Amino acid sequence: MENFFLLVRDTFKEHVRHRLYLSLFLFCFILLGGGLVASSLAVDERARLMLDFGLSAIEFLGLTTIVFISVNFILTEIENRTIYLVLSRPIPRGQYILGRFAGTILAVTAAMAVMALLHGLLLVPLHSAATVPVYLAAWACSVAKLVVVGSLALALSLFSTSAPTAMTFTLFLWAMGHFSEELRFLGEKSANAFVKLLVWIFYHAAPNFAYFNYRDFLYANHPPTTAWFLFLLCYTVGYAGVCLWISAFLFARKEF
Amino acid sequence: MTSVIQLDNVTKIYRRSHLGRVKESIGVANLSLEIRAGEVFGLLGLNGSGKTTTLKILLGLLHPTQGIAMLFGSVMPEPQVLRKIGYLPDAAYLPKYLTGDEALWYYATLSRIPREKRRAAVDLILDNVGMTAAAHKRIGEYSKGMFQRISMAQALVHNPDLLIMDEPITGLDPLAVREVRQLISWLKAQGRTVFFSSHDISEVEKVCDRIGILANGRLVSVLEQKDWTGQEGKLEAIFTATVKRSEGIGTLKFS
Repeated sequence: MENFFLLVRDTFKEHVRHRLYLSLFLFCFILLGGGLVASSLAVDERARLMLDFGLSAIEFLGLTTIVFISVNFILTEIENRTIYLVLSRPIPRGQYILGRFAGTILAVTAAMAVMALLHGLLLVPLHSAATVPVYLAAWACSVAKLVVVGSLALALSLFSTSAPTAMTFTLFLWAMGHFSEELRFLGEKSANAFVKLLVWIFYHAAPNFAYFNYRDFLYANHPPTTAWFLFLLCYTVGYAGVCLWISAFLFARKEF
Repeated sequence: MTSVIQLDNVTKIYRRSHLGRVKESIGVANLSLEIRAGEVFGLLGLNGSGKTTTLKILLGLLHPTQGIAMLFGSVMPEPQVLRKIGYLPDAAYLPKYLTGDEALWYYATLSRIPREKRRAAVDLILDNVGMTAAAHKRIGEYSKGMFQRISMAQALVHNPDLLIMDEPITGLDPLAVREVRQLISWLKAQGRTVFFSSHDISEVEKVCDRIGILANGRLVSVLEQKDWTGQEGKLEAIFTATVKRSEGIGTLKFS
């Protein structure tokens, strides 16, 4: 277990010491500043716009970062050959994948937490304290999305071994994931068996992001139930678990 | 003497497919070799002769297509056996975002050195490679010589019984070459086993107990120290008579 935590810690260190990590905060400042300006134009809905815009910006930055990092962190280590010095030591390959993935998620989550803190400071004059738990729940749903997209990107990177291909497929499935129900509807309506099959494959392979939309409940009168959260947790663990299992399987067979 | 390395009829065929067309090339073919404890064994060969492939099979980084590679009596890849092995690659492939000290701590932990002994092991190896003063500098800021020293330290931090080195003197200045020679002699005096690849005949003959000559993936000859000791140029003559270029390069016509 010590090796696992070491990998988590060093992966976290690696990302935090990377220039990209700092530029993430720069983009966050720009987006939140833009949100502040844009929300001032919406007189009645300023608080709502600022909240939605900020959460969307944090999620967008978190997800684009996790796609980029998850696709690259193993491939870069293979390219730089630093992986030789790790795999020539007594460490099971599955543990290596899990440790590196957990460290990456931790680093991006930490960045999202800092961004949320900044965003929270901007929201103080606009919202009451009652918004805090709601905000935290929405933020946690974005982190769950991050875990799912990151694990998908990692599995695809090990499957294709080309960063641009893996990134394209991840972004494609990410986009598909936002239209899961529409996709299923189209598949059901189609008379062509091949289209039906294709849609069925994409429907099941792409993560269904409709399950993560806590923000849909923000202004509704019916907040999500505990069962909704439990389902989301199970879905996240299940989807990420399958992707990580595939990643570990592919990595175990890999030669360097 | 017990055998530390045992290769039994090992063959590695690389398969590369492009647009559905599969191209095969031989890394090593029917390689059988046994290396005993305490021995310094050099694998000599031209570029592309299969030296690195052999080392990678031993480390479990490549899987043999056929045959068995064993270290300390276990079929590789066996994670537990890797505790007893140090690996010094042909270049310093180190994580540049870490300091020298952090990198060695990282490798010491991965090598399963118990926590209570780890600090002492890292400090000792830093001292032994003369890097204590620069230990808290990021590796990305190191000079080539410092890189080499930390690379050497990571291979030795866990006190391995077997050191595997891939072309350890390629690209080094004369002083660094002498240091590698010094390291090999020290390891030999400690009773450790050293297995390394090289294409530098003059260096190999200075330190090895036995030498294997690889040509086109095949082990064509294994020589004992008595076969070249005291006979200047003998090893080079054997080597040039044994190997042929296989990359489609013709001979030079300046003579």
